[in-house]
Order: sequence, then structure tokens, then C-alpha cells
Amino acid sequence: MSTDPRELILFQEVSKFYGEVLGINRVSLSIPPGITSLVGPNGSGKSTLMNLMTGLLHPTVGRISVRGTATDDPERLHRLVGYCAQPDTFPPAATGLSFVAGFLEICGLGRRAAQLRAEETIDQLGLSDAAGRKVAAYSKGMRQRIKLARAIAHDPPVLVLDEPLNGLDPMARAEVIALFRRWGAGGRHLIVSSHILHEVDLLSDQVILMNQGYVVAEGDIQGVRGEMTRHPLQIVVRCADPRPLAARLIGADSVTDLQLHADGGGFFARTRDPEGFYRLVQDAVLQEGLILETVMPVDDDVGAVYQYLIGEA
Amino acid sequence: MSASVNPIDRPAILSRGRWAQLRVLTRQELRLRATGLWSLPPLLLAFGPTFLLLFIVVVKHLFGPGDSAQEIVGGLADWRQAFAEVFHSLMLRVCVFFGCAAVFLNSFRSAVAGRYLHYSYLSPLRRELVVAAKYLSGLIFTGIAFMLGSLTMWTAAHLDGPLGETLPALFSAQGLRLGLTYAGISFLGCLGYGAVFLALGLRFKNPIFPTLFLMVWESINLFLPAGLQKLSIIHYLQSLGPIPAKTQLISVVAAPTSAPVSIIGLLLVTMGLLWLSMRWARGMELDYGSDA
Amino acid sequence: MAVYERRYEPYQGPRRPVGGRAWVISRFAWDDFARSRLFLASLVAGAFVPTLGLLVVYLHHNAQALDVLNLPISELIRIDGSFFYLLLWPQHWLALWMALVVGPGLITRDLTGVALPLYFSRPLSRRSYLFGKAAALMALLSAVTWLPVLLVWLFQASLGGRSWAGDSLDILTSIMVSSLAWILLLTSLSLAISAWVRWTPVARLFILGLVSVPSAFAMAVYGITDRPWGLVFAPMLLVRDLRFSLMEDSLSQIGTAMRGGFPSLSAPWTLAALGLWTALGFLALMSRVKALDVVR
Repeated sequence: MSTDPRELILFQEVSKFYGEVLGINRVSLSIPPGITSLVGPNGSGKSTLMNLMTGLLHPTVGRISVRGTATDDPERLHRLVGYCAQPDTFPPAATGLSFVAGFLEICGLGRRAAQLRAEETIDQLGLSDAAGRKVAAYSKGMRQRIKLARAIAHDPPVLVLDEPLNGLDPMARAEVIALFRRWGAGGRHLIVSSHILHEVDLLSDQVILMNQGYVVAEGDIQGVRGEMTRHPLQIVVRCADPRPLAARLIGADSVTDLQLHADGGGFFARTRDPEGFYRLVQDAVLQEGLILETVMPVDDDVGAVYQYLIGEA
Repeated sequence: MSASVNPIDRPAILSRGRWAQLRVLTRQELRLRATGLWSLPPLLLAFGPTFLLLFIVVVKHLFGPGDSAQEIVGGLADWRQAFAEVFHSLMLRVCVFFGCAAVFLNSFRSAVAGRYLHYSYLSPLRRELVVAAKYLSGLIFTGIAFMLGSLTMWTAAHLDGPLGETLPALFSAQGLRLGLTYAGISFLGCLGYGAVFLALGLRFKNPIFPTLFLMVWESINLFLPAGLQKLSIIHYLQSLGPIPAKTQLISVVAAPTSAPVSIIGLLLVTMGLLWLSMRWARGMELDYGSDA
Repeated sequence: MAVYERRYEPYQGPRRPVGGRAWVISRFAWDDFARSRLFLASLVAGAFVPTLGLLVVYLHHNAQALDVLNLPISELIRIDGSFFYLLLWPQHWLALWMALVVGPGLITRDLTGVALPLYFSRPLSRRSYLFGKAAALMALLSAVTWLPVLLVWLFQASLGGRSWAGDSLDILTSIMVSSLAWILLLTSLSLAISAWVRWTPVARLFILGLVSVPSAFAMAVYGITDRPWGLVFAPMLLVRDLRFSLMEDSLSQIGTAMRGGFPSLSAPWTLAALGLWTALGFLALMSRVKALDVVR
């Protein structure tokens, strides 16, 4: 992983207080390129983190840099960053097209070029038919998409999206997720906050879990899960004759618990050492010629991690 | 939603100068100001005094000669005097003041209350430019409105009496100079009050109470000692009036400041306030939760 | 394990009669007012002048206290129209201040919070809603205008006897009529502006402008023409005129001096002009407050 600050988003001991209310506290992060999801309950500090990252808020303590640019230099920062913020409000009388084209003109494009570029971006988000209408008359999903269009219109290397899937219907949601995937490839940063955990799972290269203003976990989800030794990993094994395998595994130190399925066609195992567990299973298969149908962890997704780290907090 | 967004020509983005950004932003702000119902109150204030003078002229003519209403005002000199009185007591003290308050207090506050200021703050430009664009657009809007309002008011003051005498007086060098001077005073009023109200709107979540204080301060200005009188915008504007006001106490300036000092003073105050506003805008955090 | 099936059951308890529902709106509006420290401070400040008035009336009729204090209050201050004018005048300004403090938020908050569709979906009619809001403001403005001054008048009447009360009915009329006209006007304008202008600070500016800008126009008309018809455009000056003209016979020199040389319209004209302003305010209000706002 690169340690070049020009390729990272860095938080160094950042705290933000709103008067006496804690926003986030002592957050140190180094976010590499790729898709990073911010996950946490309401009020956990996700939006604060995003607002700090985009310069809308200033840290009370600490330093933040986005690809080597300080967040108190909006002129440089917002050439790098596109932000789809949470407020669902727009300048009065703005149409979809004027909303995006106006931003592109400020970015540096001529009026005609900005218009063309805005039309192209809006088209890519499926809003061409509504581009000339006032944004105030848009549905929630359309408003979400026009905000997204503005955020990506200047092709920023860093895209920050606060709850971008809110209000989108299932089709639009799938298309936007596909767009994010393409966007996240090729060395760009894409930071997304979301409550919809299975979509976070589908989308993210890494997650940052937040609770009550603190970062409670960060990294790729399997890595995070592996670190959680207090909660052994649950693995389901399905095979025609599970008893010999179960007998071999039950004696191993890494297996804490094992429970045969009622139908006799498999078992649940809990382990604190998944790699050791898989090695044991591999050895058994090779030595005893077992035929396995499934070996699959069942609680190494964001939902489970969220439940263990935040739900039980 | 099919293909990914094509990469933009990034060098083009980086090449845009600040002046060009200011031009674009000012145009966008001006469009916002000029459309919708919001533009109506300042325009009514700008042209209200003209309608007032026109109304009086029409009433006077409708009553016809010999009626006591004919004696409302006398000749051209009286009308010019009446213009000076109305200009100082109504146009400057009330119309320019409230017109600028309506336009400039709203510059930041309505964007915060409407929760759309973050779009400006999320653009690749210095926040000072946002302040400058909001100020410039407001100044263009109010400046044009009140300069035109002053000129039409000056014209209306010449519509009474035999037009064969009053119109040449209006278009004479002196008449034009006086008219343009009053238009210039209105513009300076917009310049000064604009900067004050922009700063108030930026600094205070509820700027009406400082505005109320300012209104009282400007109203009692003439009753204050000479030194304190100079701590107001209206003092310098009143000092610039070429026709000395006589009858109304509210229009009399006891110790007027000379025109160059007044103009330079107003410009300096404006620049100082804009500098302050830019500093505040730079340090401003957008937390809509507490501004709703 | 148990499953507790929950089914919807309609509310079976007593219901508030339809006619009384507007008071719920008033009560909540009052609760909102009470959360503002500025409002509470203003309310307390509003009691200062009437209390002073009560004290002066008491001293006037208490020879013992006058002896102790050794103050010739009876000679210094006469309890006449001018005295009540001096009590009423600051209270009317205070009413304007109160309208500025609490008026703009009355409907604005419901509009920005998109609460009107909820209100009008079932339990309330548009009229009840507006009546509830107006009643809250009118009750508040009454509490700082005619109520405390009426209290002083009644106190003086009780001490001064029937003859004083009989002779001073014009003062009572002035207190009541000018205050009610002012209250109705402020209520209609505040609510209309609150409904049309969605941002409270701007709505405050509008109220301030609407009472002061026309006054300046009226003064300008008077300055040029020496005639009072410009007053028709200046509601604040109309109320001032009404206060004076209704107690004209009871004014002493101070009161006449306070009135100044400014000419006035006759009382019926003044009332008609004020009525027109108030009606315009209510019309603007009714045209704006709707359950749905369609954007095209």
C-alpha cells in the first residue's frame, strides 16, 4: 500500500467539537484509493467526517489532507473533490442543467463547453428528460441523482458521497452502484456513507466503522473481522458425512465450538483462527478423501461486524 | 446510466483565472437576484419616490389653476428644493437603506437558511470570491435601480410648470450635472450600506436587531455631536448633496464633510467592511443544523 | 418465545370539539414564544411603564404617602388624557417589538417544516389554523397594550370616583380602539409576512419596513404638500393619530405638544384606512396558506 500523502486522505489526530457536543474525537485515518464505506449509526460522526474532509467544517484539533492538499484551501481542494452532501436543497429557480453547468463554468469551462459537459453527465445519470425542469419539482430520487451529477461533473479524483443511495429505486440503485464501481477503479478515492449494509458489502474495498464520534474499526472487512478475536468466526461446512471431519476438528485448539446440523449433512464451527481451521479442513480432505459441498464463513460481512462492534456496544 | 463519465480535460479546469470565476459567479448571483419576487421590494423602493412626485404633479394638474392645491409648490426652484428634501429624507434615509438591507442582508443569510450555500463553498474557488461576487451582484442590482430611481425622480421634479421652461433646465449642463450627482450619491449609498449589510448578514444569524440598531443610529445622527455624526454612512451622503436642504430638520447637516473626504471615507469604510466579510466567510463553517 | 400480535385500534377516548381545536394551535404557539428569552425579557419590560402608572395613580390618591415622600405629585403629573397617552405610547411600540420578535416565526416554521399538509389533512380547517395563530399573537399583544393600561384606568376610576370615570370615557375609548386597531393590524401584517417570507430574519425586516417606510413617504408628502393624505399609506402614523384624536378633549398641554403641528385625518377616515390595511394583510395571508404548494 502506498504511503505517499499525495495518494492518501489523511486524518491526523482530528477532533471536532460543536461547542460542548462531540462530533468526532481523535480520529487518525489513512484512506487509500478505492471504495471506502463509512458505516455507523445516526449521530456517529460520519457526516462530520465528510464535512471535515471537504472543508465545510474546520477541525477543532488536528490536521487533514486530501491527496496532499489541505482542506482550508478550497480553490485547490475542490478541483480534487466532488461532494454529494446530505441536504436535499438547491438554489431557487435552478434547473437540473443550470445547476450542473453553472458549477462547471466556475470550474473553468466556457459556457458552451460547460453546457455540453453538463448534458453529458446528466444523461449518464438518466435525467436528460428532466434536465430543463426546475430541481424543486424533482422527486427525491431525481434530486439525489442531480446532486450526484454535479459531484462527478468535473471528473474529480476524490468523490465523497453522503448517503447517495437514499431515495433511489432498486433499478437506479443498482445502476448507481455500478457507476461507483467503475468510478472507484483506476486509483480514485470514493468515500461513501450508507446505512444499507449489504450494499456496503457489495461495494466497498474497505470500511470505516464509526460510533459515538470514534472510529471503532477500519480496513478491509475480512481483515477487520479477523482482528475481532472476542467473536470467533462462524463457518458452515456442508458434506455428505460430516462426523469424521467434525471429530478431527473438535480436538483442535483453534475451534471453540462445533454444532452438527439437524439433518446430519453438515455443521457450524466457531474458530478464533480461521486460517488454521481451513488448513485442518484441507488436511482432512486430502487424508480422508472427503467430498465437501460448502465451506463458508457466515459472519464476516459488514452486517456482522457492525452488530458485534456497534450493536453490542 | 450507462457508460462512466468521460474524463474531463483537466488542464482546462486549472487554467480558469480568478477574474473569470468572479465574472461567472457574479452573473449567476445577479440572475438569482433579478428573478422572482425578491427583486420587487428594492425596485419599489427605488422608484417609489418618483411615483410620489409624479402623483403630486398629477394631482396638482387635475385640480386646475386657482385651486388651493395649486399652491402646493411654486416654481422650478421650489420643485428642486422639494426634490432635495425628498431625496435626503426619503430616498437616502429610507429607500436606499431598506433596499440595501433587503438585498445585501439576504446575500448569505438566505443561502444559509435555504441550505444551498454549500454549493458555492464546494466549488474550486477562494471563498473571498464568493463574498466579492455576492457584493458585486448586489451593488450592480441596487446601484442601477437606485441611480435610475434618482434620475427619474429628478426628471419628475421638472415635470411641473411650463415644460418649455423646465425641460431646457433639466437638460442644461447644470441640470444634468445635478441629476447625475444625485444618482452618484445614491450609488455611493448602495456602496456603503451594501458593505454594512453584507457584513451583518454574514456575521449574525439574526441580523434584524443590529439592523434596527443601525436604523436608529442613522436616524438620530443629526442630533449627535459633530464627532459622532461622522461615524455613520448617512452623514457623508448628506454632505454630498449639492442643493442645500432648508426646511426639514432631518435633512440639515450642521458641519458637512467635504466631497472628496466623504467619497474617500465611504470607499475606505466599504473596503474595510468587505475585508472583514471576506475574513468571516473564510472562517465560516457550514452547519445548517443550527441555522434552520 | 412468544409473539405478541399488535393490531391497529382506533382512538376511543374523548375528542376535543371541532370549534375548540384552534386553541391547541394557540397553546403551542405560546409554548414556542415562551422558549425565547428575548420574548420573556420583553414581556417583563412591558410591565414597567404600567406599574409606574399604577404607582403614580396610587400616590395621587394617598395623601399620607405624599406627605411622607414630600413630593407634589398632584401638581407635577395630572391624571388626564396626556398621562394615559404617555402610558399607551411606549406600550404600542412594545407591541411592534413583540410582533417583530415572535410574529415572523408563527407560520414560517410550519411552512419550512412542511407541516401544513399534516395540519390540514384531517384535524383542522384552514380558518381554525389561522384563527389559532392569530389568537396567540393577539392575546400576547393585548397583554402588553390595552390590558395593562386599562388596569391603570380602572384603578384611577376606582379611586377618582364615578365623575372622573364618566368624564374620561374618551380616554378609555382611545385606549381600547387604538390598541385593538394596532393589534389587528400587526397581527394581520405579521402573519401575512410570516406566510409569504420563509426566512424569519427577512420576515422581520419586512415587518420593520412595512411600518417605517410608508411613514417616511407620508412625511415626504406632508413636507411637499402640507396635506395629511399621505397618512393613508402609513399605518403606524394612522394609529398614532387615532390615539390622539379619540382623547383630544382630555389632552393637556403636554399631549398637544407631543402631537405637534402634524395634521391628521378624521377618525372615520383613519379607521377606514387602517381597516383596509388589515384586510389586505388577511387577504394576503389567506391566499398563501394552503395545504399543498405545487412547483412546476
